[in-house]
Amino acid sequence: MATQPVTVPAPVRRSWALTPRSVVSICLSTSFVLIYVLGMVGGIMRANQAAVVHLPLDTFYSLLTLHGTGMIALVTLAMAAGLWYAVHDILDLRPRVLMVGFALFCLGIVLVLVATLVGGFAAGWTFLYPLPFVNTTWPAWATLAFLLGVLAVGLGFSIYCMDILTAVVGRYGGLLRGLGLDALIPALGRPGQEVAPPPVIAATMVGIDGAIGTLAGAVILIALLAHYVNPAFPIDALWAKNVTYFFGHIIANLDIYLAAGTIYAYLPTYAGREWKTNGVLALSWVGSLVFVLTAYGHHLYMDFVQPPALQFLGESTSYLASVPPAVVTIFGAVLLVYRSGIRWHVGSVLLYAGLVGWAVGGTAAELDASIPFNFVLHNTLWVVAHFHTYLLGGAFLFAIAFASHFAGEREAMSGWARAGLWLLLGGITLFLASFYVSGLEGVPRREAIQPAPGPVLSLYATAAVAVLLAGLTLVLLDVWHRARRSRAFPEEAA
Amino acid sequence: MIKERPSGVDAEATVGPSWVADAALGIAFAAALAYAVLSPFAGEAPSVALHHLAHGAIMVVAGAVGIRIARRVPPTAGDGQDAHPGGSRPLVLAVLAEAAAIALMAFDAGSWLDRHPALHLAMHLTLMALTFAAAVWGERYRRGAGTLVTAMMAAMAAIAATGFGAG
Ligand code: HEM
Ligand SMILES: [Cu+2]
Repeated sequence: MATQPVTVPAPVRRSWALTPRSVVSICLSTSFVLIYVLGMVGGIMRANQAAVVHLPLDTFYSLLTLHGTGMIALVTLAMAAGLWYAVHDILDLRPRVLMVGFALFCLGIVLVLVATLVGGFAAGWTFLYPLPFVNTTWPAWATLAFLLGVLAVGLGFSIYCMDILTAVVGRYGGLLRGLGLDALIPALGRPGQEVAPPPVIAATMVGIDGAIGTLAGAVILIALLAHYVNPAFPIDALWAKNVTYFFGHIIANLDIYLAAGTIYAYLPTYAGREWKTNGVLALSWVGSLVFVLTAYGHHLYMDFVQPPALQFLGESTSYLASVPPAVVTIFGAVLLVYRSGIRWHVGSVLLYAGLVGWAVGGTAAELDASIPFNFVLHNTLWVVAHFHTYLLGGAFLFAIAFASHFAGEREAMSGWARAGLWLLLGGITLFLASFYVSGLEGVPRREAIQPAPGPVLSLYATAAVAVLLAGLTLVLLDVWHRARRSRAFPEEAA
Repeated sequence: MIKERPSGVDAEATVGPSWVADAALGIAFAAALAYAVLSPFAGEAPSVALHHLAHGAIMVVAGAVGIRIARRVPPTAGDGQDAHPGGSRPLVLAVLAEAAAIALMAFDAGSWLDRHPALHLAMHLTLMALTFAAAVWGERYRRGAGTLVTAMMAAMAAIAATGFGAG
């Protein structure tokens, strides 16, 4: 079955060697440890908004910047490793390239940590021009460190994307076939060659959008760096906002599309059914490829100088963007599982829960992307609610699901894991509920001190974060424990 | 922005006699070089957008030349995956060259280049050299990768044309 990766047996009892398993393990462990820490940072921010703790204002905003930048980079890292593992056999990807990407991510994250924690950089993860430069509460070098850090992460992701794309061209002789379009248009096919399986289609889409997105990121970052060196270097603020959100929107969205590719690869192994490429699936991914590039415009609804055509494009494609995943991936997954006698384990539970998070978060995003609603919800905690629903309640759960599968799920689910899942999912639900209600009540996002009823809702949320983190601890320990066991018997894993 | 090509694998077979393609590429290269050398001294710069697009055009030509040459040279042990399993260096170098080209654009703002035509000329030649090198490295990593890297250079110029250095 083409969608099931074959495990490459790792050499046992040797010192660390560069194998697919070892590189993916190091990407996953690094990202989980840091995500855990940044989750605690999130809890501290909620406690501050509840006025339980009192951080200096500039500290709050640099923690906010660190949390946003770090989380996006780390979930990307974990999911990129997951999808890489799902397709590395089919595409003949080599661990060294993933390792180079990982090293650049680490360099970038260290620079962001230094910029925010030591330097106090606090312009937000979107580093919107001219915020990094005017009325700063931090020294100029912190801006430099932050911009270079984001650049390093972008470079790492760019190498990852180019590697996948070139491998797709090598294996399938073209990107259109990598997108599985020969399932739709048979004339495109090559005699004797199978249509690309769903995880490869997802990888191709991510590769194309990721390559273009990181390119835009590099262009805006170089412009900002040039402005840093020479303040006379001109930057048009509207242009900067367009390019910055083009980049940021793509990267944050790709987390979920990276995850979709891993769902294609691993959900079938639980359900015991195959997930095959067909014309509709291929078409849906072409749709996603285009809409992820064009939907960023919904970040600029409040910019009256933005050309109306771009506003129209942003709103219409934001709607269209929801169709392919909803119709093909989420319904497809439900059908795959329905009456399959699926085997429930940490991996399958979280894959399923993640699909729910994706669907709910996507719906909440659609609401906010509708201009009449946006008048009310713009820059409220509703925004934060919707993207945490599909990033924390979606992409991140997919990442743990993959890690659990990767660690090996031979034995039945342990009681600890079961308890951990309840706490984790319950905690996430309560945590998100607080953001949603605050948003409806008009509580603004990105404020250390909130108007009522923000503080009381933040208090509930702080408690929910504690529950969430307790559950996360149990689940991650369970995964880690199983991973250690399967290291002795690598053939048991996956 | 990334266009499907009939794939590097059978490109040669479909172009007809390869000297026709070589000649066409040679003419394009001569034209690009002429633009690169002469335009900095032509006075009045075009609009920022056109200027970036012109850079994109000369880079694409340089990349095409790189691809064509790389495909004629047999791979050596130091090359990418096909010849040397696990080698990642050509890919990393190609992406770094791409990044260097973007970084170079930082000089491309306002009237600075107009006042320093010699540096402008040097910049044009460096952009072409970087694209040429990136395409060769790409092609050495995996067949077809040079095309992708060159397409990325063109995309970079297109993104820059939306307003880099204007404002
Ligand atoms: C343990 C889980 C998490 C907690 C407790 C948490 C908490 C928070 C809080 C309190 C904020 C500030 C909201 C505001 O007032 O504007 C925030 C913002 C943010 N979070 Fe999280 N979060 C968590 C997980 C994640 C994950 C998994 C991601 C991404 C993959 C993420 C990405 C972001 C981003 C991008 C922002 C916006 C930063 C900005 O406005 O500049 N978070 N989070
Ligand atoms: Cu020029």
